[in-house]
Amino acid sequence: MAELIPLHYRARLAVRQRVRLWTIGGALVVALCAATLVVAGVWTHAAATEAARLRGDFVQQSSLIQRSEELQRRRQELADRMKKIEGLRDDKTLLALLRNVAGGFADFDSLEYIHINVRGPRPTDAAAVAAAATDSDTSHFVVRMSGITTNTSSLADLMTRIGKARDPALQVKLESSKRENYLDGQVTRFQMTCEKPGTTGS
Amino acid sequence: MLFNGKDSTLAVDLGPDAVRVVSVQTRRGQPHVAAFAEQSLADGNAANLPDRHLDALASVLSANGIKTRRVVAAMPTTSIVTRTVQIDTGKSMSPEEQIQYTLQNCLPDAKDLAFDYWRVSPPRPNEKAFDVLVVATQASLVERYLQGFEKLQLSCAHMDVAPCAIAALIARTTTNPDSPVGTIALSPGTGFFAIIDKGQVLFWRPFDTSAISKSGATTPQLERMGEEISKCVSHMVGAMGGDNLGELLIFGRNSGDAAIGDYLKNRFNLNVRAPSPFDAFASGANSSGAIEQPAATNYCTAVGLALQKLA
Repeated sequence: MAELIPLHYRARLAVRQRVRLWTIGGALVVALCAATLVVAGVWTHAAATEAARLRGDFVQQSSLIQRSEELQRRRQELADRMKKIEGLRDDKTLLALLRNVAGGFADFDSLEYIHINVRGPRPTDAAAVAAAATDSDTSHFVVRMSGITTNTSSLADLMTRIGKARDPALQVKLESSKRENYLDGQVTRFQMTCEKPGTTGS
Repeated sequence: MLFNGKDSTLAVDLGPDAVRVVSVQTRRGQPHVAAFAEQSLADGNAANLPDRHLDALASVLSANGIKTRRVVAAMPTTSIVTRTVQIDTGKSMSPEEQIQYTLQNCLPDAKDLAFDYWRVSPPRPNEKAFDVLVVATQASLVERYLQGFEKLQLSCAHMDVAPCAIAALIARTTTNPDSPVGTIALSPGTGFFAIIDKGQVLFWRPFDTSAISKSGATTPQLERMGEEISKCVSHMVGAMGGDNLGELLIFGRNSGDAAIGDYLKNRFNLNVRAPSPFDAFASGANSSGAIEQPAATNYCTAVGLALQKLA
């Protein structure tokens, strides 16, 4: 067969076909890349939206948790305070000590100052706390008081009466005593300490 | 087209009277006719023949909705010059230079030349010369057609001549492939006789058919055509040393005329046939609807061009 197309035209045609093929291929690759980028962008946007939503939920739930924890803490503090008040109200040792000390004073004795230090078991020891509520012997106490009495004989009587007291028993120790003028006569001013028997002092 | 597995080609026959197109698709190695159409040329002279061809081509493509852009075309035979040139192997000039030198004597402008050639004489040991058949035309004319195709968004992959296209057709339709075949293509005003052997044109000579009317040929007209063919056969006997034509095939207008067939059969004592070019396709391959004779024979060049690209 004859070929009448000039060589330069055939070469140009071949180049054009190659260019067209490469252009189509390039366009396909670009389209594929663009589609991939769009899909990736959409996916990233969806992921970012989901992350933002989750972050919002987390913050919201976190503040709820914090408020809940704060409320729990406050309630716990209130419960502890009420428990302390209940403990104070039900402190039989303190009441017994006041009763024994008050019972020891006669008509001519005067109590000027009293300081009672009662220490129960540690609050963490639930069993000891429960026992302390019903048994005053488990407590350790120190009663310091000062006052005046008629003379040393009446002071001795006072110490004897207090020392005879029971439930709880008191070990009386005279810290100091001295005679001094008071109004139109003389009195004996004293300071004494009462402790639970068997303790060595605080 | 890129990915549907179909190879589509539009064969365009730029005939002297009309433009004929055949769109052929190859599916799984099997060619199928997707479309065929023809458009007559507007009146005009030889100078504006390319413009009339391109206008007719644009019209036939748009009218039939043909979208195929890969084109193979056959130049009009009236614009082609053919010569048998003897190449001297002893000369220092190349065969192309010898051909150009020879064509200078028969063409007005040797610089405006586009040609192709092929050997037609059988090879002999220690030969000092051999014959080639040259087809030539004006390069500017080819450029005009190629530019016109580009304006129509067509990509021309091959530009041939009608006898070579018919040679491809005959290679698929002949009953005796070992013998040379004579073929006659008739069209209004002109025609040609060609000798084809194994798909290659060995000799080609145009002749005037203006005397043959559309209704048929008279005896004097047939005698004139017979003389032309007789000269060609004589040349073949003298130059190629043989008179072993197997058969004579007739294509184109009036190819089915019984008077022409009988005359040629009696004068040259050959089997004369006027087959349909579409017989080259497998049965059922014509997916665009059946086309029957006598219209089918006019598509011989277009079908041959399409088959060339499938060979």
